[in-house]
Amino acid sequence: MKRIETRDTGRLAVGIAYLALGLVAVSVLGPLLWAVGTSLKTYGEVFSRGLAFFPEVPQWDNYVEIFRIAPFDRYVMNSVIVSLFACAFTLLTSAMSAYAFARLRFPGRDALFVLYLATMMVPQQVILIPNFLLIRELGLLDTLAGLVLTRVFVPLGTFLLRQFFMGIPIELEEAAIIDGMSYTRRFVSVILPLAKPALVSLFIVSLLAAWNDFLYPLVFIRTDTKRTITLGLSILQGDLDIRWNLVMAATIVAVSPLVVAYLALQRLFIEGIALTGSKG
Amino acid sequence: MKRTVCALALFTCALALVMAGGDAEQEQSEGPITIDYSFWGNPVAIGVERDIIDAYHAMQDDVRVAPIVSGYSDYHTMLLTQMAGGSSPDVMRIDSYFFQDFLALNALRTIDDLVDRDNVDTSVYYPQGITENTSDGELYGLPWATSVLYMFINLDVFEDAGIPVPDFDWTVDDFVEIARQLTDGDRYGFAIGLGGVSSILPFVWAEGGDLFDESRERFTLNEPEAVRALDRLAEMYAEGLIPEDSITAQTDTLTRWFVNGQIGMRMGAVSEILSTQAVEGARFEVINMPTGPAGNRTTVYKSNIVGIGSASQNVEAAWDFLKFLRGPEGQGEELYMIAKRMSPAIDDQRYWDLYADPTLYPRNVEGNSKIIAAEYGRLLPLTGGWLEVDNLVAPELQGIVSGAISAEDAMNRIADDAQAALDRAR
Repeated sequence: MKRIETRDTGRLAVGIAYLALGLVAVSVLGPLLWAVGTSLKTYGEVFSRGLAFFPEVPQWDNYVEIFRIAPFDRYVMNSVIVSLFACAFTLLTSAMSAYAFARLRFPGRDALFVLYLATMMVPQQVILIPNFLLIRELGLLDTLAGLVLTRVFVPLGTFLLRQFFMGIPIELEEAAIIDGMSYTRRFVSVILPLAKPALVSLFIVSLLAAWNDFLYPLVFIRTDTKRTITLGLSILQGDLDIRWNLVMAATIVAVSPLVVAYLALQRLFIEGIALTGSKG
Repeated sequence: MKRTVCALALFTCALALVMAGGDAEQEQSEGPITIDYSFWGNPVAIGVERDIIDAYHAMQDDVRVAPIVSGYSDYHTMLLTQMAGGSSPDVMRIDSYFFQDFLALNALRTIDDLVDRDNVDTSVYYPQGITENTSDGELYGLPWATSVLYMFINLDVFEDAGIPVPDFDWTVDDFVEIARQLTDGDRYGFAIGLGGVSSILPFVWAEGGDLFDESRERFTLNEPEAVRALDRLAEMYAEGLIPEDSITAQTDTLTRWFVNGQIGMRMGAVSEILSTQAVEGARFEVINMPTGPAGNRTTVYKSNIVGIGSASQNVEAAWDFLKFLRGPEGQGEELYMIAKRMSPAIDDQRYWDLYADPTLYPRNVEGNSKIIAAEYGRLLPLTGGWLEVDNLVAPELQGIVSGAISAEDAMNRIADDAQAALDRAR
């Protein structure tokens, strides 16, 4: 009798857990679903049936219209270029510096690491103008390269990878040393392959940050054809007569590459987060 | 190892290619001068600006105009940051809310000398526009989008309730009574966005109050006349004449309520005429705000500034473009009017003929706007520190209208900070 009660209580708990998870899923997916629905509405429907999830007749033309009223294909391409280069450089600089902080022994290493980490506490807005001056002096204002350059050195990346590298058994490197491998060879052939999940995590985090960056492109980019997708979305809302159906269509286009990247790398991303977390 | 080195080399080359795509700093040793012109807008508005720039380019070969654009909400931040970095546009549009703050940063040069030299007739503009482009007797720009903050009237709702469109001399008492008659079940008489002080000033003015005193040096929204006006709005809310969600509603929510017939009246700018017109079947009119015992001038009249940057190295080129863009002899105003995105800043019938379309609602926009400009319009008491004061007042408005705090307590609570903001800006 007691076992039956326990089983019923267990089922109830599972049911409540599913209900709670369902509510969370609805609260997360609901706005996204509404955005998709709104992207397919007419302008009039946005106001007359604003709270409805789906349009009476889907307006697929909205997705064509956004490319007609602004060069959104160019904006997407610019975001792809900036994000991929920024991510690649972030991985490169973070991995190299993390390896140095994790494995190399040199005077003041820990103090330097703390100092480097301390720069994470400085808000981006504070260093916006110094960065602006620097990029201008380099002649990179209004270039995608200028945007990439501002995202090359990421202390968070160094921190994440250092924690991961410190968790890799030192014996593996010692074996490589016996085999006569240099620092560079050990880094490339031993450490990096083992750090794939952590690198993927950092890649996705960096990709999100670079893709969604708005402040720096806003101030650094002037030419229409060099705008990133976030600036493009902002321009769509640039005056009081905002066509929300087109804004939503553009937003769906803007987030699609990120969703694809996440889905493609989901397994490694979760693995990396778990590993960097547990080893930290 | 070789693969890694190759990958790095490819990377560097690719980056160099990307960098090669960027513009270097402008070199103006020979050929046409290039000037920067900054403005805000959405794709439609940007299209109008492009048409104007193209027309200017077609007219002459000496000056090329490079547009710098962003959305309105980030525009002034962008401009200020670029200026702080020593990169100022030659010609720039500034919302009049920011005018004094930009002047305090010495961002604009006076154009009096250029106006006098070229005999530009500034009397053709609506005088409110010139006033908003002037500081300490010096003209800093030419007006753009001089327009009214109207009361929007939903004609379907009014007809359904059997109420005629109010006359120009309607009072706040009439307004409250009309709102009462319009309110019926899920339908409300009036909705107000409380995002800024501009939305409540018409009611404050009607009672004889104001945000500042005449010298614009003393905060006066805590004085009895202003408090009375704010209490009146709170009473309307308590009576259920204003939707409950109104106090946190954004502009688009008001538009949704308005075109769906959920509210009979709302305040709105000229640009909101566009968004309302775009909804098929929306029938509406625009009129002045209700008058009061303190007088008729209770409707916000506002302009913006298009001026020349004080750091511009190409003043003559910038002035030439500015004259084309905003001058009485230029083509800019005509192209703006053809696009119908704003009402004329120049008092000339041919521009109204281009802007106003009697087949579209609001059908009396021309006549009503002219009467409002002449008899019912009033400029905001813009001054240095306005934005800071506005940021102090706006959050309090929600508490006042919802009845969470009395207007007197709320305004007294922020009075010292508001006064300090004004003192700092002087």
